[in-house]
Order: sequence, then C-alpha cells, then structure tokens
Amino acid sequence: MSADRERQLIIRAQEGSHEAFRTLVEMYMKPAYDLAFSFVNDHDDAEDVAQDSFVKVFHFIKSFRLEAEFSTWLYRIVTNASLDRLKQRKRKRQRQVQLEDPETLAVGDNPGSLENLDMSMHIERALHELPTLQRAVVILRHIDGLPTRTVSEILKCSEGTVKTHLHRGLKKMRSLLQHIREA
Amino acid sequence: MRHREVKAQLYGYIRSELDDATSRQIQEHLARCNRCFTEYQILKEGFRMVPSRRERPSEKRPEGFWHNFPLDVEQRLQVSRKRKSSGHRFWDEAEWFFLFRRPYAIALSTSAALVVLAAALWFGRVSPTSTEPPSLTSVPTEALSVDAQVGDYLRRSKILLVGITNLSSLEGGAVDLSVEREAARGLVRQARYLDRQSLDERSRQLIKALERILIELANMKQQADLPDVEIIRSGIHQENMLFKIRMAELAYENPPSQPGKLKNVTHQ
Repeated sequence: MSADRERQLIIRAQEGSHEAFRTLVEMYMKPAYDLAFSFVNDHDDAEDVAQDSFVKVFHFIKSFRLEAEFSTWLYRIVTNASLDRLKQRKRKRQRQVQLEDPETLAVGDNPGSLENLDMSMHIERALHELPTLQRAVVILRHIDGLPTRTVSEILKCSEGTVKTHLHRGLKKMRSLLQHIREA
Repeated sequence: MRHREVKAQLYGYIRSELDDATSRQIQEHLARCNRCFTEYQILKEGFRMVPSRRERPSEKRPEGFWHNFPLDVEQRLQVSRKRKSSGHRFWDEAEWFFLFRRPYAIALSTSAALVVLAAALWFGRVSPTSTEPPSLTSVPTEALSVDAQVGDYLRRSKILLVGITNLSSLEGGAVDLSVEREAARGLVRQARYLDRQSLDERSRQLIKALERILIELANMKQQADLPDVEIIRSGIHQENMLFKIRMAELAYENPPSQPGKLKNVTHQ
C-alpha cells in the first residue's frame, strides 16, 4: 500500500471512520502480533497485547501527527503494552509462592527438541534479567531486526543510546547464558 | 577511527549492515587493537547465543484467527466504550466532532452565548426572583446534555410518582387526574426521546420501567376511582421505583463536568 493511501486511511480513521480503522488493523495486525510475541513469548498474551494496542490506537489516533510513521507510533504502543504485560506477569509470579511447572512456562513457539525448549527458556529468563530499556533494545533491534533509527524512534532515545544498550545487553545476555549453562 | 566509534559500530559490523568503507576501517582497527578485538569476540558470541527471529510467530496462527482478529478488536472497543460513562462519551464525541470542524465550534459557541445572553435578559426582565416550582409538563430543551436531560426526567417523574403515592390520604372517592395524565404524557414523550440517546444500560432499563407506569397513568380516565389509582401505586411499590429513581438521581445530580458516576451506583 502506498504512503498516500495509508495517510488517507489515517485521516479518515481520525475523523471517525470505522472502515478505515479496520483496514489499518488488517494491515498491521500481523506485524503488531509478531512484535508483541517477541516480548511476551506466548501466543495468548501476544494476541491480547496486540488487540489491546489497537484499542489504544483507536482511542488516541486523533493525537497522532501525520509527520511521523504510523508503524513506528503503533510499535511504540505495542512495545509499551508488552512491557506492561511483562510487569504484570512478573508481579503475578512473585505472588505465587509455589514454583511453576516448567512445562507451563511460555517457552517460544517452536519447542522441537528438549534442547531447543531449554535454550528458549534460558533466553527468556536471561532477557528478563536485563533492565527494561536494554531488554527492549535487544528485542527490537536484535531479535526483531528493526533498524537502529526505528528502534530509537519507538523508544524515544538517541541512536547512540540504542547502540550502547544493544552492546551492553548482548554482552550481559552472553554472560547470563554462560552462567545458566554452567549451572 | 577511535575505540568508542568502533565499539558503537561493532553490532552493525557483525550483522554486515555497514557500507564497505566503514567495514574496512573497522576491520583494520580490529587487526591492530587487542582491546576492541576482545570486545568484538564477546559481542559476536552474544550475537550467536541469542538468535534473531527467523520465522514470524504470526505464521503459526491459522487463517481463521486473522479473519476474526479485526472483529475481536471491535468487540474490545465496544467493551471499552461501555466502561466509559455516557457523559464521557458525550464530551468525547463532541470534542472529536469539533476537533476537525473549528468553524462549527465557533458558530455553535457564539449561538449558545447569544441564547444564554437572551435568556438572562428575558428572566431578568420578567421575574428576577421567581420561586415557581419546576413544571411537570415542560418539554426538555435540546440544548441540555443527555445527562442533564436524564436527571431532569428522573426528577420530574419522581415528583409525579410521589404525588400519586400520596393521593389516597388527600382524596376520597373519584379523583381528578387531568394534571397527572398530562404530565405522564409529557414524560412518556421525553422517555421515548431519551431512548434514542446514548445511555448506559441500567439507565435505559430504569427509563423503560418508568415508561410502563407512566403509560398506564397517561391512559387512565380523567376522573379515576381510587382502586384504579391503587393499581398504579402497587406498580410503583412493586418496582421499588422511587428508590431506584433516588439512586439514579445521585449519579445525575452533578453537572456533566463530573461524568461517570452512574457506573458506581447500583439501581438495585
């Protein structure tokens, strides 16, 4: 779809057109879902986060300024919603005194062998050890492969900050994963 | 190239995202700088250990899931709208409408200001200290917000029902219900108007229940016997109508600048 057509859709959605909003949902539902999944690593949560993000888009679309990229704006909403979901999940886990059954943990969509399952769990755990901004940078830039500039716009920080956090984040992930393996 | 610059570019270098000239500069730097080379090796290992996404999780979901996705979003939107009070909706929609229609906003606010000014001049001239009770039969003004109209409707209905409830102690034999019938007809018209407005479900149910009683009252004979009035009164008591109205009034007695109270008030 051309940028002009997308712009027209956004303007119509801002004016209250449900049809235009629906078209925007259809255009971006898969990328939004994929991004949410990168954070929450669970299909049900990704669905929840992506749908809630579109509800937020609907309510706040009139505040969207057309000089920015709609996708970047949407990804920022999805990223914030995903980080909120992770915080909720963390609080919930903290409230549960008993240990969770490892099989019920979200471990990615491709368990395959036991080794893959373990590795996926380790990566998720290591990601959770990173500070929020570092984690977001690693997910957006490294795991999702978004350009540095887009990541800096989503997270509202400079490109230099993205590079620094990515460097530190990957180094920390490496040492955490080594530590988990040795343990 | 300085160490800090090299460090900032290492990730792009590992990912082969840099242009040829920058890549060559980094390669040369790494060949002669042990510190940066060690940093490069650590980062490369981290890069290898944390895999990038090779396939899209969305591809794992069936086609039906994506077909229903926009519908699910629409359902969530409806739920989120219901959570908002009717007052909120009214102001949201008004704000939404006027945001892109500035000339309309200016025209409407000017008209409203003129109407207020004319009303102030008129009342100031005719009866500046009027203490007349509110009329039961006056038609609601369209200029009021939906919340204010519901509040007005409930207040006038309550006055009418209280009058009907107390009728037996004041009168004996046949009673003249001409004023009450006229008031009930006006209120039925108002209820039908409100039914077309955007209301929360509980207010709508209350207005419907009230409307049934008011229709009975409006259809009564002008000179009714007390047993006929008793039917209306028992309807009021059975529905616990006066209590419900008082509870609903609590939500509507505040001006629309404080909307959203209704959802916290139980109508029983």
